[in-house]
Amino acid sequence: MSNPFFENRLRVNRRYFLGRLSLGLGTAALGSLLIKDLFSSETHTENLITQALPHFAPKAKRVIYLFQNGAPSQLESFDYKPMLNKMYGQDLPLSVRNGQRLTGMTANQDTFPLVGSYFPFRQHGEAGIWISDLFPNIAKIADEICVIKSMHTEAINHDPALTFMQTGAQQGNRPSMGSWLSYGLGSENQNLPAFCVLLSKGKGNGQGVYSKLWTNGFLDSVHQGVQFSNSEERVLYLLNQSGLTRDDRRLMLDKISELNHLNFEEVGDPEIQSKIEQYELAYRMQTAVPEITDLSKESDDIIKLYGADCLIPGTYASNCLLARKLSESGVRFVQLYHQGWDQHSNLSGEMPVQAMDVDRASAALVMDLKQRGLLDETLVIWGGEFGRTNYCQGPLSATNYGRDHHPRAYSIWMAGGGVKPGMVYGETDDFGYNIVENPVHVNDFHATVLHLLGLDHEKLIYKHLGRRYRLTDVAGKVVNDIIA
Amino acid sequence: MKSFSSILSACNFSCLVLLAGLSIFHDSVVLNGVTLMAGRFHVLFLHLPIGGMFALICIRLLKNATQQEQYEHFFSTVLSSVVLVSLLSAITGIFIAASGDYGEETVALHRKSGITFSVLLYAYSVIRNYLGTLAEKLLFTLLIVVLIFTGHQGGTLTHGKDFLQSNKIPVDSVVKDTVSVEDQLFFEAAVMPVIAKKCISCHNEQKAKGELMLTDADFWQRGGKSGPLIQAGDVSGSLLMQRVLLPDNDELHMPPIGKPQLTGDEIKTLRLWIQSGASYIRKVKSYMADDSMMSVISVLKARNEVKKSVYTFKRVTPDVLERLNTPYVHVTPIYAGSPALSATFFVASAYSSNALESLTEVKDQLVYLNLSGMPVGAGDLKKVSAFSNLEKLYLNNTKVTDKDVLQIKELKKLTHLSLLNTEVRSGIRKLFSATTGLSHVYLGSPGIQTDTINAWRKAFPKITFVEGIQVKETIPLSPPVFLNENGILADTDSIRLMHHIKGAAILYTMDGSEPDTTTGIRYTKPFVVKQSAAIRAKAVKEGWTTSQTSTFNAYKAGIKPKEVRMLSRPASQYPGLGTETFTNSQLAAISNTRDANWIGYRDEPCVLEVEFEKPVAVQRLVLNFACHIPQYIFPPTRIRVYGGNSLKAMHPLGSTLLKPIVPAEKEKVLSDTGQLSLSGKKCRYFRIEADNLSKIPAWHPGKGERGWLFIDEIFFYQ
Repeated sequence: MSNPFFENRLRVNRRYFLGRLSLGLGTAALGSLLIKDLFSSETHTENLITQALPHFAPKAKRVIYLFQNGAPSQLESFDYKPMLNKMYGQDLPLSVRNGQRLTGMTANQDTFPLVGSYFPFRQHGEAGIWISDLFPNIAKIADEICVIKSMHTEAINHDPALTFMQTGAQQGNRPSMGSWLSYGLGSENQNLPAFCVLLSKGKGNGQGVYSKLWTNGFLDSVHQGVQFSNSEERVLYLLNQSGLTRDDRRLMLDKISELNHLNFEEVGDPEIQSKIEQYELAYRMQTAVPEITDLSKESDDIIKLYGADCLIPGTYASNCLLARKLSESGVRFVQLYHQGWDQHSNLSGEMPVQAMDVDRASAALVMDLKQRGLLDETLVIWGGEFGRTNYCQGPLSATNYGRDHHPRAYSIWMAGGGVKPGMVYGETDDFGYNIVENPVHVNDFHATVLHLLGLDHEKLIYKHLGRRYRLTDVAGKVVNDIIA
Repeated sequence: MKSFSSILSACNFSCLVLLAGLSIFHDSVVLNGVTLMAGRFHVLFLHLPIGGMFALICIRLLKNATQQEQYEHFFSTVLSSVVLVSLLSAITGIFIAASGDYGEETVALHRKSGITFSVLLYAYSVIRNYLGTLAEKLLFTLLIVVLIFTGHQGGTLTHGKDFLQSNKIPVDSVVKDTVSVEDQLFFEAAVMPVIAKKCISCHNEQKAKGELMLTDADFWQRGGKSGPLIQAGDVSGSLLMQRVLLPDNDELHMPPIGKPQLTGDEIKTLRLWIQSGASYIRKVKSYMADDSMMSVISVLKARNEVKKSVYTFKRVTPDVLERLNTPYVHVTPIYAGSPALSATFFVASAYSSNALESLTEVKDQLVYLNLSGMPVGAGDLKKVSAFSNLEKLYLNNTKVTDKDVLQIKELKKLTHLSLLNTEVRSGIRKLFSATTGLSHVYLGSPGIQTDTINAWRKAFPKITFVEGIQVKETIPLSPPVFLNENGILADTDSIRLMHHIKGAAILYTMDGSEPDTTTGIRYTKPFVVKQSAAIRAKAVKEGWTTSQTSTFNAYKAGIKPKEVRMLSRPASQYPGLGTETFTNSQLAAISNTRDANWIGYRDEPCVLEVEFEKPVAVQRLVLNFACHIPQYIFPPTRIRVYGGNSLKAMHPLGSTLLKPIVPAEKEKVLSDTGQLSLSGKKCRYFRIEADNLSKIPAWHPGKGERGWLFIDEIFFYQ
């Protein structure tokens, strides 16, 4: 950084200015602050962070997050509430609702008729976990998963809830979970991004996904999630144009890098450094990505395991298979989004179709990791951004109904990565409305995931605009009970 | 100044007398408000003699730098003050000791040495000018020694016996490292660490506040001054919990305000222990069936695990790590500060044995090695056998054989071995008898039979064998994929089909019937269609269920009219692209009802007037529409076509009724066509009427409403 003028232009902000001012005003006071920083263990941790290593022995090395975008109903999947079937059509008791705000979509309904699952539930595995018939394959891995029935969130609409689940804040300006992990643990495989994003779309009523969900926020942009394409070429514009050899490309990058370095000397914008790094990563990806995205060598057993769709780019099944391959190749965080889970109406029509899309491949991923001996060190997470109401939205009939958003309780499951297998954690009341045991807030969920990866959520921090930020901000508590 | 000195010495003398009295009758001190309060001042006074003595030492050191008279005056004034605070400290000390919360032995020693110090100091202040230099120095030194001894005893009373020497974290001193968590006593492993950290400093043999000692189980059962500590099974009835749960500002709240408080988890531990019967002899494992205890136990386990995984080998320097790391080999400590390393290889085409060879430099530190997918050569595992502390080895998707793998049988620490998709066969068995530590082996290779693995399971019960997954059930193939982007074909365009799964055959029909093995034509190469057709295709493969049908509506472009005019109004929210929608050779996507190539009708049927440049003999008319039942979009009920050479004289040319949708089709979503054979009479003008469903049937959620009609393209064939 040779040009202090530019440095100032980029780095000086209000807090920095005030901080400097106090140096002139009260050297003594500042002196004590300096000494504190010199000897406190805090500084030590920050140094460790920059080495991008776990703070303590990690259980998991990598995460695959199967995000079910739109909020799948917990009442038709993992939270079995026969009481709702018994009380079919009766109004939601006020004592249960307890004054909770509702969305504008149902707040004006005259009645809130309770409705139970249209689909039967059965107990599965040695653990006897209740799972609905919509998920026959996930039911088969019941003894591998830990179902958390007591997730709860603060947001009641998709965008803020999704953003909260992904970044720990409802506004979209914070780094995504994957970015935090990239920052905290670094990349295992320098030939691939540490954070990859794969999208797919079901046939059900969908909600948007957008790149702010995999943003690096205030972290360096090398930590940004890299979105894969759903075309046959999974990373667009990665390969050399015909006629350009790898040596030509190298030469070109070297020259561009020289120019970028000159520019950096002149203006000192750290984003220029990031850009240079990203060019280099892309160059290395040219070798690694074709090796990984080539699914043609997968055995028939693997294809049958994930389902026939797994070779069609852009399907959930193919994203699961690709996620396994990326994770196996050292990608820290593979984030899937599967759209179409927003069943405000026609739930009994749409949900089976949605479930069919994800059931086989989700279970396949867990089993596939297990047979490779990788499930121990890979955390698989399956779930949406909130739950759905126990009462019907819109017209209720014996065969069809809809459910509105419900932030007070929802179910997710995790597998592998040091999570206790074959376990149900937390409980909701007989109406599936309120949590009665072991609530897990989104912040707690984040703290737990970081803990499994060997990171202390209170120490994984980044200083931005004069204050220290965490994925869990100022809250979060590790749920030790689900850790094996 | 003179008067100050005399007041001081008078005070000193009276204090001495008081102290003399108290030291004889210290057992009979009566505790009342005054003595209690005076006693608490001990905490203040006791520090002053220490500071005072230190000041005296400093003044003595400056003796040569000051004038004799000044020095003498200064020294004696400070000395008198130190005498006073020493005496006060001793007196208040006797009061506080009388409150009786302290270990008798230590208190007695502290009292005696404290009194000795103050009396001796008083004596020194009186007689020092009459002593020889040496004697004076000796006496002063003795005073320092006595003070240190007294101070140390006092420290022991306040902070516990091992306060100074102990450098261990209190928790560790209780948990025994060698015994696994399950076999430890719950009381020792979970309860005592909490108490040791937060309570024991005031409740021990030396300092037993409230006559309560918490250092071992016997004392717990004995309780304190206020009675028994614990009521087994009764949380609210247990004094321990009562005190802990009182509000912070309550005088009886424990630990006292200002001392480190119990955390929520610590209170939970105590509560759960009492709830479960407050046993001093139950082992941790006997609680494991109890779900509510699991959170406590998992913390214990985690703590123990950290201890277990302490490695004794040397840590390598950062420059070694830097040298070993390349874009294709990732070598890293397993966590910050750990000497143990993991190494993973990436990108098969960049692999070389030399990279593996270079890891020999960290052969002691390497505990995790992942060579999955690498072209591991015949001699490479010989190199791996040198990594003597290796715990996990991944060789998935490599060509390693039994012979290769047997080279690592010397690895005593190896617990995990992954061998999915390798050339390993039943000869690997020798490895299991040779190694002792293996606990998990992953063996998904086609060459190893389940029977073999079952036999190994019996022979090596300590090893968990994980087989490769074989899918026995037959599942459906995915439907074939049409590669044509546009369904409107020029004369030379051909239909192209593909399937993603190798060996899957594609069968198709062009007459609208379901393709099967008898009616279906087997697709081998792209083909040209002679006229518009709905091509239906299925995929079949042995071991799989036949796929669902995929349909492709192929339209020959046909002839284009000069102009299309709308005689009825489409719905305002689905105007399409206006009249050109019908003839722009663009088909709308069925997945998107907002596609601009759809034009939607509901309140009025679709009525169009079509004009050609000159009369044409249309043999066939095809109308493309959407069928999206969940979205209330239904096929037209009837299509009628009129024609003529002037708008005034139009004659019916043909009409067709379409099959109504039945309840079984309530999920139907596809683009469909209505086809009419016309007489071929030459006409310049045509009128096309397509009626939408006037009343949605009762089985549909939109029953009674008018159905939507979505049209995109209309074709005319001569």
